[in-house]
Amino acid sequence: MIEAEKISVEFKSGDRKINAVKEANITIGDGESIGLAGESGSGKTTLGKSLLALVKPKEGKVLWNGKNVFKIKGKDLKNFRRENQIIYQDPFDSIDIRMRIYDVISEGLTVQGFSKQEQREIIYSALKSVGLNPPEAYSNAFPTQLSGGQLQRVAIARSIVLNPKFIVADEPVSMLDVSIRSGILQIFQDMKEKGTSSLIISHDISTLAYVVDKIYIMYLGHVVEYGTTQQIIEKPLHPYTQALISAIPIPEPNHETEIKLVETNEPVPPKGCPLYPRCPFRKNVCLDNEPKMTEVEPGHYVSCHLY
Amino acid sequence: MNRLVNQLLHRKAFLISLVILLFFIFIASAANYLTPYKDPYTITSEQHLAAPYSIPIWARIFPQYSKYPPNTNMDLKSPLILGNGSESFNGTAYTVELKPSEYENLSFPLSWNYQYPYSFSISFIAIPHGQAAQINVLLKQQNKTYFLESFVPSADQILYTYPTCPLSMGKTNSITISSESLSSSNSPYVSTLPGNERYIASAILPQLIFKPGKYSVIISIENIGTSPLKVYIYQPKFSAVGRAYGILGTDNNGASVFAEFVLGARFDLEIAAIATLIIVGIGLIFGLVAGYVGGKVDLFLNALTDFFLTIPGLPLLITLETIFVVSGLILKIGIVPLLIAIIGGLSWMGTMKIIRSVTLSVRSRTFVEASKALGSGPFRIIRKHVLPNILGVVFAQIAYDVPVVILTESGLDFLGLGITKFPTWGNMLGYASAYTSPANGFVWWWVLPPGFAIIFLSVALYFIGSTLQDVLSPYKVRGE
Repeated sequence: MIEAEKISVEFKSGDRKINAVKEANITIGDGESIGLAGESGSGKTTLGKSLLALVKPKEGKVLWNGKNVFKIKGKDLKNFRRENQIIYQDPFDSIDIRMRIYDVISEGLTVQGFSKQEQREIIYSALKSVGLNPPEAYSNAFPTQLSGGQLQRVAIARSIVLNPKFIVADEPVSMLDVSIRSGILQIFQDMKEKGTSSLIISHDISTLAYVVDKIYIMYLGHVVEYGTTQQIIEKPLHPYTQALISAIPIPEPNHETEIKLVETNEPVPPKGCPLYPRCPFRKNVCLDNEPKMTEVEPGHYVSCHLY
Repeated sequence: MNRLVNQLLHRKAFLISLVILLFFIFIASAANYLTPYKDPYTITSEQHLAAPYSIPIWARIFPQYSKYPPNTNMDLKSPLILGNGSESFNGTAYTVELKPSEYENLSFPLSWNYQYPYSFSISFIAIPHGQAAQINVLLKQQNKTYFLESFVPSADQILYTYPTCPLSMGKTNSITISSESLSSSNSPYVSTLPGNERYIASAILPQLIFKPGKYSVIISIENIGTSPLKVYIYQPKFSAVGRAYGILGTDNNGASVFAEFVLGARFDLEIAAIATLIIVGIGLIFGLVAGYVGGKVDLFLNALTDFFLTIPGLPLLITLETIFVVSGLILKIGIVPLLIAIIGGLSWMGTMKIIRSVTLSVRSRTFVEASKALGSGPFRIIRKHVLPNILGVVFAQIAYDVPVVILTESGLDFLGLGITKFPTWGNMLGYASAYTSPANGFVWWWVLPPGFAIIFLSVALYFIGSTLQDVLSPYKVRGE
């Protein structure tokens, strides 16, 4: 189980500071499948990476079975790495093209101290389970010889060979052709059935709804709303979530999107709600006070002055 | 691996460069077999192999050099015999028997097809038995006769108006008449020359005597005593020090330029290999650490590199050189290790900066983070991911640094600040330029080989480096 408490991440570029994540809280229980949605630049990936201690936050902590993941060392760290894995968005960049597929997948096993014989079996069965058959043919190939979809399967195989308890999947299907998306998503379904918990990051809320139990919505580094998939999809509360949901194309003539965010160049108020400049329902209180996370119905939280 | 070799072999620039590089490596490693000489600068027996500034043998294909003589060494044979004595030849020795006042001339033909040589000498062994003999040595060309030297028993020397040399009767006389030892006090011919020529006779005699044509070397024996005389003449020889020598001619000392060239190649490649290892070693370690660790370590290493970059290299090299080597006061270090240390210690900065920058770009790629997420430590990531991905650049740096070392080292040698005691390409150029003049044809055979060698080697290594970088860098493989 992983729990993030008030994570804030700041990136510096010269004199400019960018707050990628601001005081975000997220909890992933055992066997839970969580979705993280939001537009580009909202800090989804950064939050996901800081859960795995791959990004160092300015403030806050991430607890893994009660241990702060930024402080663990040695054997604990190795166990943490084995049990918590990540799948990246771009398989072309996340796989070292100098290595053969077999070596790509065996890297984690070698680091974690599996013997050569053990590795062979695990790798072949993992290749099969992600649909790369026959595994002997694929394991000797170079990444350059594979397509994007096949490579993403390799990246998934690399993560699941360690039999992790938690996987962060950073836009696992966004680089893929629509025709192979469902195949990849099926792999996540299978993992969920095996009891692996996951955090699936996506800007596409309809894809998320297909696999996850709970959805977190992020906007400009803030978690603005979360709840079960059903709650979020059927009854979005936050204006931003409503806009996201209504932007899902519906194959129906004359269907009108209900809510539109305002397009503006107004700056985000330093103290107030981050959505203030674009919100169609904004009030004066939104300008000066940042809304607090409130439970509107059981398990459904939103940070908005409307509720 | 095969794909790599294939790609490399399909590039013409790489192939040509490789051939050039292999050529230099070959002459450097086979230096001991290509030349019998060890160090033409200090060992005097390896100098004066031919005339100073001798042209290469093959240069005689050019018309202005066509009549330059090579080194000549020949036995004088089949003499024409003139005189009233009797003589016999048993295969090794000529035996001449003369009654009083009889004479006999052994006239050995010598055909000379060249211009004048640098020097010449005529040698033979004479054993006169009897009371008194006069042995004259002459060179004759058509109607001109050069009376080089005359040998008579010392008691009789006073009887002659021209200079003579002593002859021991009944003993073995080893007679060598060389143009360099002839003077107005021992040579009748020189004593007839005008005053100014007489003093420099040893230098100009070959020019005065030799031009293309038929000559004869005459050994003339006369019985000047009152009883019968028997003279044995052994091993008459003619030799000339030529003005065309070897593959690359000679330098101002008459030492083989080819020997200097291959010895220089060996030294230059050795020093380049060692110093390059130092340069790339320091550059790679500092660059990897700075690029991968980042933060304060990067800041420190980068600042250190910048500090070294701001040091003006040549003046510092000269100063260190002077302190350690020229003065010889502070430390007794060999000049070669010192040069390697100085060049290596002052040339690694560019390599460090480049390795650092490529390490930075590889470090920020996702597969490095992915490897970290799998639990790899920094050493494993550097070994398995960073190094293989920057390998092309590392090889390119090795190839680029070799010419840097050779150029720096040659520059120092050229200026006379580096190695002066044994041949290197740099000091060959330095000495050659000091002795260059129109009179010796600008010693092109001495200047061009090291000059072209440095240029060709540098260009070849540049092409090899950029090809390796191209082929070994992974990003190209995808055709991005």
